[in-house]
Amino acid sequence: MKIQLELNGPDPIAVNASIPPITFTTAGYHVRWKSLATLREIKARRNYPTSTFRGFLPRTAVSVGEHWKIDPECALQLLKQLAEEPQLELWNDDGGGQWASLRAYNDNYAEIVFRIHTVFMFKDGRFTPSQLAGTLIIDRRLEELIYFEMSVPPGTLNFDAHWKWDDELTVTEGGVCRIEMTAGKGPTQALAYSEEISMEEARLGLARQFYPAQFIEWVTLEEAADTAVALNRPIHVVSADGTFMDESC
Amino acid sequence: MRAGVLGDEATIDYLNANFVNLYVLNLDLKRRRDAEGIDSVSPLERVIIGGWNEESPVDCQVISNELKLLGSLPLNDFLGAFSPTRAQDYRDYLRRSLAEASPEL
Repeated sequence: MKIQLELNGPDPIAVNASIPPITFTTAGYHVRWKSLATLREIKARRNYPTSTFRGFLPRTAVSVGEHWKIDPECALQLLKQLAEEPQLELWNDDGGGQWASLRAYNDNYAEIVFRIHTVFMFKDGRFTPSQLAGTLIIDRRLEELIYFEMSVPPGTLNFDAHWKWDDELTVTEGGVCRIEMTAGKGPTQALAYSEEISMEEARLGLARQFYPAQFIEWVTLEEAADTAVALNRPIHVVSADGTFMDESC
Repeated sequence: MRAGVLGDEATIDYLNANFVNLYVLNLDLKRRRDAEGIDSVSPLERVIIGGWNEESPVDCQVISNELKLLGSLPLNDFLGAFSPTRAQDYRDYLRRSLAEASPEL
């Protein structure tokens, strides 16, 4: 079944943002490079009109698992709480975009998941989070935002940084950051939805909007050897210095 | 690579039909190897590490289900050489490895 999603709740909506100091990079640039060493949120708390979050909703009725593009201007409004110069155009030939999907709903609530790829520009380089993954829950009867969260998921490496030393030399490395934005209060207990897909399925669906290679049926390292024996197939391994499923490489 | 060779529809179909597909982050393998020693990592991890090409940031390997390394392609070298049929070239590499894994095919 398709449902229409609306947001007309009261303004303003206060959003908390946080970028704690980066504590790990593969070559120590979080200490040696000032732009990275001093990377913090621009403002810890900022108010937004409801219209900012309306940009995360689909323009037409959608069913569970359906995808739509987030209004880039609304995404940028939020990202400017994190960085002076966020950009939505990436440097490589793929991976740009902002996508959302309806994960679940019932008569009272609807839960949207989304994924944004962005680059924070510095005067001497750029910082690319692996992704900003988020959830937005709305009260369908009141047409109000209940909860919003957006963060860089944890990982062995979850960002990519390019430090431009001079016109000739740019160095690249990965590291681990924690970036988070939240608004409202999440439900204290799991909501009982009348129709839903799992979070894992929803996240995979979003990833496929960015990367066609996500249509490959990947298994985990723990599963691979046994699965190969069970299916009597060889293993195709992509062994990489950078992460493969997001923008941190 | 995500949008190119591995984003090619025919390659995706071929991989899903014939292989168990695995992505690993080299840093994870290095950390386990350095912390626990090469003999402590799993047999599959040992084969992957043993198949790494020098100075290559991305290797695309084919390993039999008996954990024998059948191919290890340094991806940057592969992508650096111009080819108008790159996706087909990659499938050919997989096919050769697959023939070695299952000579009866």
